[in-house]
Amino acid sequence: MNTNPLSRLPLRIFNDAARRPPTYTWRATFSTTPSVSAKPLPPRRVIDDADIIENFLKGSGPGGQKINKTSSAVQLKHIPTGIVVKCQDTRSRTQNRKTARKLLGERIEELELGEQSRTAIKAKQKSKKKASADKKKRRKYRALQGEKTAEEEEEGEEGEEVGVDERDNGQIDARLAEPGEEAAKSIDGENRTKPV
Amino acid sequence: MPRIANSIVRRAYAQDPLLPALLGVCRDLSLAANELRWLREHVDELPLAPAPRPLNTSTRRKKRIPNNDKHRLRKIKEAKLRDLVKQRSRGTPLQYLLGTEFFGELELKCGRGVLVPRQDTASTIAHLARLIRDPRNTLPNELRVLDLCTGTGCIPFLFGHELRETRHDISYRMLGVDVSTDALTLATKNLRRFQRKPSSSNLFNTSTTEAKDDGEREDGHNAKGAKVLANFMWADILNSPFEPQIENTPLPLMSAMNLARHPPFWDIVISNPPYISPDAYRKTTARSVRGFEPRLALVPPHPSTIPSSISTGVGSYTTSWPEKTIDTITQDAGDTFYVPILNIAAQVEAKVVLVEVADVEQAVRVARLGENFGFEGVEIWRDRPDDTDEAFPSSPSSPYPKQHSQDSSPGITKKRETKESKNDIPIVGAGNVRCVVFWRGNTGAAWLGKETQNDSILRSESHAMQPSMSRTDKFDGRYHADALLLASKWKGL
Repeated sequence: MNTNPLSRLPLRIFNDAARRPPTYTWRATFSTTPSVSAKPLPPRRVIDDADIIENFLKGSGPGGQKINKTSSAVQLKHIPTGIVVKCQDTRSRTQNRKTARKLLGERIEELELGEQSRTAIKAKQKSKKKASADKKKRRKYRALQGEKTAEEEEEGEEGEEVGVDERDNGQIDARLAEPGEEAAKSIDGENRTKPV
Repeated sequence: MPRIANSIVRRAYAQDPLLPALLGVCRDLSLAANELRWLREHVDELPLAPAPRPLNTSTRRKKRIPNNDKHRLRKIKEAKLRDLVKQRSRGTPLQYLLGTEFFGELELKCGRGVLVPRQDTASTIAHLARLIRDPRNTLPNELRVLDLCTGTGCIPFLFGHELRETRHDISYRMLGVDVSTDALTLATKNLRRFQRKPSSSNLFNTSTTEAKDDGEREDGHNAKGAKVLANFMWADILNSPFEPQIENTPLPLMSAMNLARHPPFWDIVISNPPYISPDAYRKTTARSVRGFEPRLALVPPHPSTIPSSISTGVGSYTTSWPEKTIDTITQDAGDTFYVPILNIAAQVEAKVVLVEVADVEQAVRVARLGENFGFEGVEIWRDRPDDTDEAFPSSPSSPYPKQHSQDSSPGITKKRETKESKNDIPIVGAGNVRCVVFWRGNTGAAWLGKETQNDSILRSESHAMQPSMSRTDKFDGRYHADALLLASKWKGL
């Protein structure tokens, strides 16, 4: 029998305690210093306010107390380039103005710098990462596939196994990264030329 | 109102089956889509939980039912969203449904019974704050701001927030006044909300003692910055202290201020009073405003229903006010509040006054009042005073359409119209005309970044003394005559 007096208490007390927000003590694991990339991105482009026509895109007619607007859209037009940017993400016009300016800066930079612009560099970095991830993925499955086929072949005949062992790892990696059939062909090809 | 094309309705339905319902209020597909998105985000953030499942787990059959809480929660959220969309489609302001509205950089609570803060107000208030917080301005150690008809308290909050951006060297005292207890409750809620937020916990204080403590502490480390002391008070601007007071109604402003031991002098007076005439209320307000927002915050009582000392300003401060003029000026039913507000501003010795108005005509009428209360400078601001757009010329001549039939005698109307195009009440910025700014003395002029008014005062004085009326000035002809009369009397004495 349970003699703990606490167990007789109503469950609610514990529930209340559980409802309180938890206090985190592991803040130290977070780092406040930003990770520095090898190549720093070019600075954000600052647009002169004189070059912008700002439009709040609201209906004409009376304003003030007479109507209750919910539109907080902001449209920016950059006069020198003619680029138009619109932002209506949030209900705060202040926030939309900030976002729209950021977007416009990016668009202008793309136009001016092309490949060297922040967005282009970022996109390139992203695509690079994605490509390498894909490569890794493919390599992994190729390796798995290779193992499987190797096992199967081991069961069948032994001659080919030797051929694979002779090659250095780098080559295998390179081949495995290639699409399936080609790799298989090249293995066959080399095996054919080797004895000669 | 033009009908919404069928193709748009169809397109809306294809986008989301809930969208067509919102088209009626929004009149625009992209806005409707935005509103639906905001409503959906709001519902997602609501602390909705499915009703607790029956705890009866004794039978084995019930135990085998899959845990479908997620599914039930989704159902509840969908129902809630549909309900909100239905309410919105009937015209309920979006801000009431979401419970908040953005005012400048601040997010304020708003609720039924209190006017939703308008974005136009935010932009003019922010502009005024930007002018006043200029580091070159010499401000008093405690800048006092009085906000009449405060509503949600949006103006004191934003003004304090904006001023504090650059001016940490001084402290601020804000007082919001309203006649509606609903508004005061909401304003206090908003104040608590700002105090709770960690980022602005030290921004707004309520009691004087607290402020003193903070001030002492501040000496130790100044980096914490200036404090904003915000208070809200129940008072009636249109109530006269010389009339019998009725129980359970708000006191006149000065009496209430005295009773609550607030200081009698304030540097800046801001107000967004009710300014829509009953006629305009019926004809020009949006359906969702008319149907759901409080009439008290929109339409002022008729001047004849309030004590004449308040409606005309005669007797309380400006004794030399020519009573005839006031009748012609306040004949528009929407202007009831401006004389009392300017009167109060004069009594509290305000250096800068900002009042919101509906349109150009009202702005000009209100701007004319200023001189009678001792304000030397006046300017009319548009929605975006900082914007100098070519599309909206700042010269006052072109944006005047025609003068309207609201003035009873056509003779006066014509006279005014010509004067408007000749006189120079500067209109600043872009957009619709939104507010009138008055200033007084060199201090007020300097705060607003104007040239010190010594020269212009001299100029206007010399005009007032000139017997010839060749140059039409800001001053009303009749006022001119009065001034001349006074001047001659003085000379005689």
